[in-house]
Amino acid sequence: MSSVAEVKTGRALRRRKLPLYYPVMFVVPAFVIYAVFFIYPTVLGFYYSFTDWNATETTIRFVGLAQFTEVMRNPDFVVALKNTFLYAAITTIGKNVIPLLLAVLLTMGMRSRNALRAVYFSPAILNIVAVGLIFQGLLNPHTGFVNNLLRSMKLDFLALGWIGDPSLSIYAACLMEIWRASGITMAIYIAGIQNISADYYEAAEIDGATAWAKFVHVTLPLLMPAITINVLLSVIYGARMFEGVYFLTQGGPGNSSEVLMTLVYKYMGQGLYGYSTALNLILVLLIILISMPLLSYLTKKEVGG
Amino acid sequence: MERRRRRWGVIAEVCLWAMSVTILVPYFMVLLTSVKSSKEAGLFRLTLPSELHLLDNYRVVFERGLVVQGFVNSIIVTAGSVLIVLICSALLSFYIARTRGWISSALYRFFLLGMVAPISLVTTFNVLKALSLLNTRTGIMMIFAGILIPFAMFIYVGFIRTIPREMDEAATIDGCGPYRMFAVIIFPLMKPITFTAAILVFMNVWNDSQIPLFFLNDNRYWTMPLNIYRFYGYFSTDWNYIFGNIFLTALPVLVIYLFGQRFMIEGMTSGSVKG
Repeated sequence: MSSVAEVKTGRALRRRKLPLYYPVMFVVPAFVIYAVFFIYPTVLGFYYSFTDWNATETTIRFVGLAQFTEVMRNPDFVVALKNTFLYAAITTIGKNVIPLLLAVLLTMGMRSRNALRAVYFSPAILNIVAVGLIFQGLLNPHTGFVNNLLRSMKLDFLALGWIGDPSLSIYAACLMEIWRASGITMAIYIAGIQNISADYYEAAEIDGATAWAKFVHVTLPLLMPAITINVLLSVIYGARMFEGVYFLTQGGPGNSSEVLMTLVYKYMGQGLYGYSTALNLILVLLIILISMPLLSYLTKKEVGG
Repeated sequence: MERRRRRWGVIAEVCLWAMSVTILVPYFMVLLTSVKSSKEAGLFRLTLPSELHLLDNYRVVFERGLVVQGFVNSIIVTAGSVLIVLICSALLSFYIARTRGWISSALYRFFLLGMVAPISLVTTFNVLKALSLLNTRTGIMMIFAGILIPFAMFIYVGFIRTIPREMDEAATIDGCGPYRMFAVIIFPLMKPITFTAAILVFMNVWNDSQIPLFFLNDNRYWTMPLNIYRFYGYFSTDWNYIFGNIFLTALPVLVIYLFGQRFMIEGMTSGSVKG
């Protein structure tokens, strides 16, 4: 048996040396950690979402889709689902449109561009708890900085409730995320624009293209790879956001700014484990359902140029 | 043409500086508020303090905010996570980049899942409990590693493909086994991307507040960001202390940012464009 194996590897060695260089041991440490601490809990969570597992009972029974029908009937879920979509959509638009504009302006060759880039990137290095508390100071309806400023400018009608107003709280959370993370997408767009050869712009100029035409017909198509990654990561990140909501509004006032991830956490705290894992599974499916078509749509645009 | 463009450039520059107040004003608010009296701080005004409370405010933050304890926890957890993630993902990425066929691409896709799916709270909690890692720094290091190995792999693989395969062959002919080849020849060549990955992982772990919130009930091990949150629980109306704590927590990252700004921005954006 062993001699056969030896002959086989010997032959393989002569034909293609490659397999011998790279033992599977290279994969093992990463695989073990990733499998034990990420994949196993995720798959186990899928299983438990079909059970009635909770903190008060000792036995875990299989209940089929009961948790999911329960979730559908929960008014908090409807709010959270709507907010998750809103949050992912608004932050994705904000974190890509504004930074794209900034990136175009900041690659125009102005003197203080490095200082400006450093300023616009800087919020990205702060932790979200800190940013959340800073925004509480800014957006507090009574004493917050923004409303103080608006009142002193006699613009009282604009001094809204922000984080204290149930109809606005989720938008306040979106605003905070756009403020915090636009620097990262901006830096990616700047790197992308700098990768575009100047020849394209010269050719366009010879053809008499306006600045707008150059942006639409040269910059945008050639920036598609950067746009793809930015949009995709923004959507995924937005859909599974927890900190950006929890540390600003904690889902409140009431349930007005709950998103799916804050609900998952809330129900885990209440000991409703099966219910919490069912919500998590819905979130996973949602992210896959949105990001896969989005990826193929964006990459198609890339090839089409 | 050239002159017109320069004029537009100046207008754009002025506009950009004008818009940057949206970022700079909150910073000034934090700094000014942190040296005011509690009463004045609650007004969130951009005025100079009527009387300076620099030392007494920051003494409260230091004594009650457990800043030193949080800092030590942050250092341990971040350093541990960075080390685990870099070693594991460098080895993994080397294997994926060098081998062909379905195993290699299947592995790549398998690990990419980690960048898409959210962490499953309840069951991860139970895994930690079963391994007696609940409420330990090692436990959350492993969780961070599980999440960030895919991230690091994502930026490593593209880079390793640019290292010529002839390097491996030459090393083997000279009598290196695969492990020595990796340690002595390949890993040193990966230095620039390892530096980038290190910054990326560092920023993610240092600033994270949800993993410690979910998996560390014992606040002795809380890292700096979550410490601010507890501090806010005690002093929810004393914004001078809260903003002082925020400033102290941001300080280490700020110092790194000021000195290694270019590397940091490159680090946080790489893998997206070049990868």
